[in-house]
Amino acid sequence: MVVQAFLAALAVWIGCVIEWIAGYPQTMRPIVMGPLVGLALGDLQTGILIGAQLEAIFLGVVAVGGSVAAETATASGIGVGLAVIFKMPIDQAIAVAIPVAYIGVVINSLQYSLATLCTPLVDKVVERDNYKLYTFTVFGLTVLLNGLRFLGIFFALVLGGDAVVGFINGLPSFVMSGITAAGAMLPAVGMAVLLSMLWNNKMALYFLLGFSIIKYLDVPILFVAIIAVFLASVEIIRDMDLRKKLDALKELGVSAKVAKADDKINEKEGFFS
Amino acid sequence: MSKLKEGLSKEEITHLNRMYWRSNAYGLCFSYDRQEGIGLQWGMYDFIRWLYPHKEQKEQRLDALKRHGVFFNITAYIITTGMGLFASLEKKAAEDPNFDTSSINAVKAAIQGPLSGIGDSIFLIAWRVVVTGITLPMAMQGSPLGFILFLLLFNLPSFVGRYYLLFASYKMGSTIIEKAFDNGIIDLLIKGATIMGLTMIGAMVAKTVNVPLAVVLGAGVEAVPLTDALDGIMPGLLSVLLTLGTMKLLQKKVSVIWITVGIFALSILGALVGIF
Repeated sequence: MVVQAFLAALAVWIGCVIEWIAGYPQTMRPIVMGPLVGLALGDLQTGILIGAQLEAIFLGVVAVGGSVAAETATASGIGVGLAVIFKMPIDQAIAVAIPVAYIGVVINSLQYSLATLCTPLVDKVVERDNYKLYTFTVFGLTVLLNGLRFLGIFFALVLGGDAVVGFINGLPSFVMSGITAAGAMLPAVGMAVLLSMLWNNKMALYFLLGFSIIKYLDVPILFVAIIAVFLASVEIIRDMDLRKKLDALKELGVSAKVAKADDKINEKEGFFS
Repeated sequence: MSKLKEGLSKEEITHLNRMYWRSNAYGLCFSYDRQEGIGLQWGMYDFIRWLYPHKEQKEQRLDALKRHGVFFNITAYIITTGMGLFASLEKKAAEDPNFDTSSINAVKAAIQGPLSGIGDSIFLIAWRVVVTGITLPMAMQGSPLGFILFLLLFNLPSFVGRYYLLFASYKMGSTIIEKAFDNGIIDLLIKGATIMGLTMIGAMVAKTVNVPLAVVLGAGVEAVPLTDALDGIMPGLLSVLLTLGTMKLLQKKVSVIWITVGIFALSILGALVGIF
């Protein structure tokens, strides 16, 4: 059991390091991390299944601007760990993994904070003007810092696995209902973070459009992606045509009035206004 | 392909190629104060070393390195747009002693916001959801094709695109700034990215957010679950309200952690009282 917990935690550690140094291939997302942990524990199938369910729930979680709404790597690690090592039913493992994802954000914050403490060290190494030393330092630190997840998952599984299983079984039903309900509502937080970055009162209708298409038509989300690209392209092409026309008019010498009108439009329609 | 490298010396190409491979390590020592800064610094180290190879140039070398070690964050999948641009500016700085290096810092500060907005919308929101839409059903069935195809499809544009972006931005250098920014093209791209992003987020909210009320109006034969009544007005009305409400809270600077804790607390209490 200890060995398995070690392997699960190690899989998450490696997956996370890969994410940071191999081009951000989204290995920390449940759809990939689930199978990775499953593979490490010898049960790829369970890993895939749990990863898939968690991915659907955390579809909107995206690490943007150095902050993350939910720790999907840790959640996948613990979810798959509980299911494979402690034979927890998949549904229950997922129900436990969801709050873990939100609690796990603490681990992420801790890692970034520790990294912040390390930057003076990196600066000192830069001063030494030694490429090899610098490379060794930054890569070494990266590997170490991601080790926090390893520790968190390892100890959680070793110390907590049986306790978690027993604890869950002993909880009054309303607590699990509450947690399940929270799990259904919490994706809104991740989405709200994304929304607040893009939000523009004029563009709000697009949000409602995407939402309505799914709710009324119940189509695969791929369909909305196609429509989204279409809408964006139409807008861009139309704007570019308009610019070309204005530029042509300017050249024809209808210049002063057009230039004024152009400026006025740019002022009002300028995106950052 | 050869047009991309036209006019570049063999040495330049070697070091740019190396920069491409190094652009993968954007997340080295990711911290709050530098974010991708250290990754960028390591990625450009080889190029900077090439620009200032002699011992006597140590000061310029270190200055350049430190310039690129400061806070930096753009979408990882287009980071070479920045790297190529910075590399070309640094080369100019190395060749021309009158070049004002503080302009490099200004460029860095200016491009991060707009490029991230576009990059995040295209890669993290749109493309990722498209690939997930294709591969997740496979994973749901338990097929390993799910995550394998996901990794391949999602990352292909990133690995291919970054190579082209690196050389393209290196060649265009500072003219990119004049062309794209002053021209209003960046504004257009941001607008397009916003449209795409908002539509996709709306769809994702519809798919993943659910307010599972257990409240029933009326009693006996006439009993109607509140959810059905609300769905009659608009399906998923509560999901929209919840998401927009949370967004308003975030805009008022309420922290994500508190909102999360709040939702957990309300859910558990609600379940106790029978709301959920």
